[in-house]
Amino acid sequence: MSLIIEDLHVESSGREILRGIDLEVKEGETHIIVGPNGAGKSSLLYTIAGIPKYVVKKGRIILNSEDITRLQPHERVRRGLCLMHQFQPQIKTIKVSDLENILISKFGINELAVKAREILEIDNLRNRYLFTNMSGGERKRLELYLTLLTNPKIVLLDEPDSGVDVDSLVKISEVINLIISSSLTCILVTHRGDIVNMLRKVDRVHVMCNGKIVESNGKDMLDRVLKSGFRKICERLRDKRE
Amino acid sequence: MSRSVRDVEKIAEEYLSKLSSNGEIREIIARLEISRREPHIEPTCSIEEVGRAFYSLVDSSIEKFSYVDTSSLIIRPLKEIVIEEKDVENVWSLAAPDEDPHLALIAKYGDNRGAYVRVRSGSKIGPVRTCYVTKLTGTVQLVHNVYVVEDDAELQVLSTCTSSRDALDIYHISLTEVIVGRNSRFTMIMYHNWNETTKLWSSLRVSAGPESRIVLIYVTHSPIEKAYDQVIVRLSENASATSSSVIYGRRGRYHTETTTILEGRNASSILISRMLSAEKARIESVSKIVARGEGSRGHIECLGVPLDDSSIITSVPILEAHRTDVQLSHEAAIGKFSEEEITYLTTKGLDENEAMQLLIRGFVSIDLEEVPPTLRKVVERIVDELVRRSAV
Ligand SMILES: Nc1ncnc2c1ncn2[C@@H]1O[C@H](COP(=O)(O)OP(=O)(O)OP(=O)(O)O)[C@@H](O)[C@H]1O
Ligand SMILES: [Mg+2]
Repeated sequence: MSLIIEDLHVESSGREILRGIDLEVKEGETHIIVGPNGAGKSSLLYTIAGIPKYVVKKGRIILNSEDITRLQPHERVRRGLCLMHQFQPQIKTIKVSDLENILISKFGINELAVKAREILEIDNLRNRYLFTNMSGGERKRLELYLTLLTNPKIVLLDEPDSGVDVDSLVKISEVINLIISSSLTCILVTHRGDIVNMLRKVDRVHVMCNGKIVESNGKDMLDRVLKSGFRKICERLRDKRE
Repeated sequence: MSRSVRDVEKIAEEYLSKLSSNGEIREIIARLEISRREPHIEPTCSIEEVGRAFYSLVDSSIEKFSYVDTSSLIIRPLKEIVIEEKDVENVWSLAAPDEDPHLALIAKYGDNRGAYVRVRSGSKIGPVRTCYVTKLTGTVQLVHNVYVVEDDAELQVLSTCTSSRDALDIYHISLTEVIVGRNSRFTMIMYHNWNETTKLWSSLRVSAGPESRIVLIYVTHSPIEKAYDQVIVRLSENASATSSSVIYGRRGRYHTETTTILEGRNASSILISRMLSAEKARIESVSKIVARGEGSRGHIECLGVPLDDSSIITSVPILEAHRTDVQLSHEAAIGKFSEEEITYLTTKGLDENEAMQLLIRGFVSIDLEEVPPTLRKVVERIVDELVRRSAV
């Protein structure tokens, strides 16, 4: 599944958060997005997932040549696009197994999710309530699994590696590698190089600052940016504006 | 209470005569004076059959009654117990006929219609079912049950109430007294499914012996004109009670009052109430824990979700401490489901309606860990029905 974003301008709570994003991700590609806190990375993924709070003021989102800009979130999921959230709400009344059953009955069983369930050790979490009193690693593992249960063709992964220990990181990157080798399209937001180095393939890296993509390049750029920090690259954007 | 059962009717009569200005009570009495039907009683049946409804009351006549008299269990019409004056010390032991007009009506006009159940020491019985049905317009259904659970015994009861769609303007007025012995267990599930012209008044009184365990589950999800439900549980030393009530109110007025009185040392109780309101319903829920016993503990959790702007939910938690060494707490909240939770679920492929239903199901789901499997299925079915009806 391919995704094209054209000149996307987004507001939330009356504030302009995304200020003209252009992005093209071809079927089966893996793209990485990095950028400082508050750059708008999550907002971009929320907008692609269709969360109504993020109001598209201008531009389009095209999924496999269909304009999905006005679709509801669940309609996008049905088309094969699913978001793994950076932060998950603690829903202390819904059991993991209840949501799991609903998703399985809606989307059927898929091989990738079955493998992920093993690798991410979901069985221990099944009787818990959604994200309630879960550790950072448990949340990320569960959220990744639930995302895969929707049988997606394109996944948006928002910091799957934040706040997880080394062992969990290995499991999570193993699953992401399965996603990549199953030829799913993948957009991954991260703050760290180590997960990226664990991936079997990275097609492109984008740097976001202040609601814009300021640079897109090959994987090599990542080490450079993570070493020197975002300041210089983001200042260049400011200079351009001035 | 050392009052003789024979006096009860007289006390009630006197009390009612003083209430002649109460229009509703007068109206009920007039109806009761007109129609009096003799109960129809079935012959003795086996214990296995008790698993289904052992007794059902249709309007004001007993349509089915299964007698049991074994070394572990006695089930008989309350009326016979009163006439024979056998085991009557428990009848009207937890309520007084001049406490409330409705109790007086039961005492004077109820004809002791209801069941007497006694579980013998060491026996475990259940679930037994009772069933109340109203079919005739204008019926006043009066019920009085007495359940006795001796020491080291257990009783599980499933009580369902329903009225046919075309039976209008009905009153269901009931008193259930439950006496639970030492180290015994009592579980009761009450399910109300009336129509919107029904007026309900019901009182459940429980005396919980030392070390006993009481589990009460109350579910109502039908429109009703007016519902008043009262539960009063007195707990002795080391006894504990959990009461969970789920009300999905649509139209009509619902008032529930659940009180636990922690009399004994280390007695404890948890009162949980979940309320959903819609279509101009008014729900009032009062939960009260009175802590008198040394080291007694209690917790109240009242959560309400108004599903539209036309309905009203009032939630009143009351904690009353009589000592310094007791521990009482409450948590009360009213508000709609969080936007964040709904949004999250929609990004996992549920539409808004499905997300709401899942949240409603979670909200009303009662902890059924302590409920025996057969009853658990019943409660799950009831919750399914509730969620189905809440679909927008
Ligand atoms: N709903 C909202 N209403 C108002 N402002 C918002 C909203 N959502 C995000 N923002 C603001 O938009 C900016 C971008 O936020 P976003 O969460 O997208 O950043 P991010 O790049 O994901 O940051 P981080 O690396 O910390 O996760 C921030 O300044 C944030 O405060
Ligand atoms: Mg973010």
